[in-house]
Amino acid sequence: MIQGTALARLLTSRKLLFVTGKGGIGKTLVSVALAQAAAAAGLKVLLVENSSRDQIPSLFGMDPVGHNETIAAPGISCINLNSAGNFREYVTKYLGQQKMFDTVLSHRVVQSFFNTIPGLAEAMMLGRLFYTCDIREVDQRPDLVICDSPASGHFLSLMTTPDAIVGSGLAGPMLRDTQKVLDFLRREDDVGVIYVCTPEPLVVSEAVDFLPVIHQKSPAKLCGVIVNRIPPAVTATTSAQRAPVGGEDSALTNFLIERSAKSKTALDMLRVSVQQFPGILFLGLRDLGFVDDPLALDFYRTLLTEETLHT
Amino acid sequence: MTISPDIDALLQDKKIIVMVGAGGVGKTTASALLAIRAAMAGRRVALLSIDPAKRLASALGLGLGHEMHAVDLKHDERSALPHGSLHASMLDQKAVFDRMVRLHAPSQKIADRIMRDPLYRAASTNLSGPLEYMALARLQELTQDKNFDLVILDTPPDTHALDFLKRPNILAGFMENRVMNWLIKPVLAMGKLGLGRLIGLGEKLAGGVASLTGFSALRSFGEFLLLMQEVIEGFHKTGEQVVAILRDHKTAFILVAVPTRAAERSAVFLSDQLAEMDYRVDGLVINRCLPTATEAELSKMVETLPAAAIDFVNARRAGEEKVIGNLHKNLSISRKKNRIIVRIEDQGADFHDMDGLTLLALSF
Repeated sequence: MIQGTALARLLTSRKLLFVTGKGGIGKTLVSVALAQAAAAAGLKVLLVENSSRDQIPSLFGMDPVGHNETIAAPGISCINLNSAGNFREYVTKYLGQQKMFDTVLSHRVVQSFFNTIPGLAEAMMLGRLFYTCDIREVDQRPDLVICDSPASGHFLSLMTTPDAIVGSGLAGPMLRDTQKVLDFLRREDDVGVIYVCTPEPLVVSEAVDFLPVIHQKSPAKLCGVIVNRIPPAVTATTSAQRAPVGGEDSALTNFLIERSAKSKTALDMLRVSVQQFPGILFLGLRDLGFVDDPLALDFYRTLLTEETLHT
Repeated sequence: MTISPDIDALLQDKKIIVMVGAGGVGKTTASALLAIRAAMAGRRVALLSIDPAKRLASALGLGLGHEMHAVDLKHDERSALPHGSLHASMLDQKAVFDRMVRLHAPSQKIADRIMRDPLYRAASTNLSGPLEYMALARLQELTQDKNFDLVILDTPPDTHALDFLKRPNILAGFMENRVMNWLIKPVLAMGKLGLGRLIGLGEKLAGGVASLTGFSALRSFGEFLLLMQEVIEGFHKTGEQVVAILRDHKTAFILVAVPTRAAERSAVFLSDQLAEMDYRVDGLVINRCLPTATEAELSKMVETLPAAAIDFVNARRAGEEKVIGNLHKNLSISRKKNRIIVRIEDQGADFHDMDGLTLLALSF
């Protein structure tokens, strides 16, 4: 269904996509739908989240998987990366220091010490994504990693951490590796950021402020804006023309009319902002009213009915 | 629409209300609505928000400063109750952090040195941990303020929302773990003896850490912690006071959710977590509910509106019912018989001013 579209081209060409946006606008659902679409196109996809509690597995009807790569559907695995796990893997697998980890670093006191180092968890998170996409054995490497990332502000702290570390006076392997991670994130052909928002004035005004900031401060560049939950078009005139004589619109009808109008205004505002980033994907997804889980395997066909918003 | 009128009793009775919920569920708006409602019912309310959306902030007249700012309450003809007052502020974590350091540092000189430390500057502005901790420190300050009899705290908007409640314990654990003894002292010794000698002395622990992060960072972190020692102890004390305040029966926790499966899961998870930490959850606010419609209105809509709109309404109504039903069943809401559930209807519009907010605050 999405073959040959701009979205399909994006999914097949990148190695790592960060999906971010304001909290509660459907980042996780969009990430999962993108993963389904990529898997349907034959890609091996890894869906990554970093949450105190797994969100993604329940969309596949699974129990939490935690920090263990688990097959969620044909072609799709998922994992909830946590900082302790990332750190362990960095030391044991990447630095090859199993013994040091077992004797020294697994110590509870050392772990609590590491938890207090500013930026360490973020650096480990990005390092782990780099490792998954670029370092580990080719046959274990996914074709595409979709990272259901933290909400806007936290996403920015995540993405600016490597720069901060490189400039912090840290030394040793961490500094060298952070530089490598930074170089990886800057590879525009491989890595991109998809910003998800909804067509509401408040959300869009935040997006308008935030998009240039991502572009300026994040090593990974913006490659798409997806507008989720576009409401059904309802205008006052269609409703009034067909209304029985003397009938007044209900609060619900008025709500639908108002929401539809607001959505149009918000989209116009967003369109202007998106034009600053030529060539990026600009996609609208309709509001389905309610999405129950687990999702159907082809849920992406319902959600990703592409509606390009470029003028 | 009111499911339970008890929300007014709660607003009259409590001294602190902590609003908890996943990001994007309208926690800040819900906090503002409860604050306005309480103030209009005569209470002197302080609303502490963390990073409110710009338009909500301007509707409340919130500036950039973190000082409490008086909000003009609108008159409500329907209510004969005497007006209380509403003050609101946005958390400025750096300002609170600085104040805490000045308060707890053993001397002005040490406070100045801490403020100049690059690690302090990084920690006080960039970390999510201190943000949460500072929200609690500010809460503690506000409870001491004689100008207010109700403080409403809007908690940080992310999935780690409850970390802030654990924060005092993290700091406590930090001290109890004797990280100082394990790490800082060897580091101090390192300055005199050199890294090689230290490892030779069998301090594998610090050596392992240093080889990974670079010695210089470890040392500056160690020095920083030493500098901060008394301040950290002060933070720890504040943390304990906050825990006592939060456990008080005059404190209420209110969960905020929206009618989606994701929000339902979050709300159930949050309420379980709170229960585990032995905090009392007193009520649930469900934001962005679809405006209600009678059967007659619905059948008229089927005739007049596009099919896509009808599909949307049907899906949303059915979903909402399922979610609210499940929340009713699964939330570990307080031991009391009465569960306070407030249903707030989606406005479709934004709040440009206090008129809009006030109207909504009195609508449930």
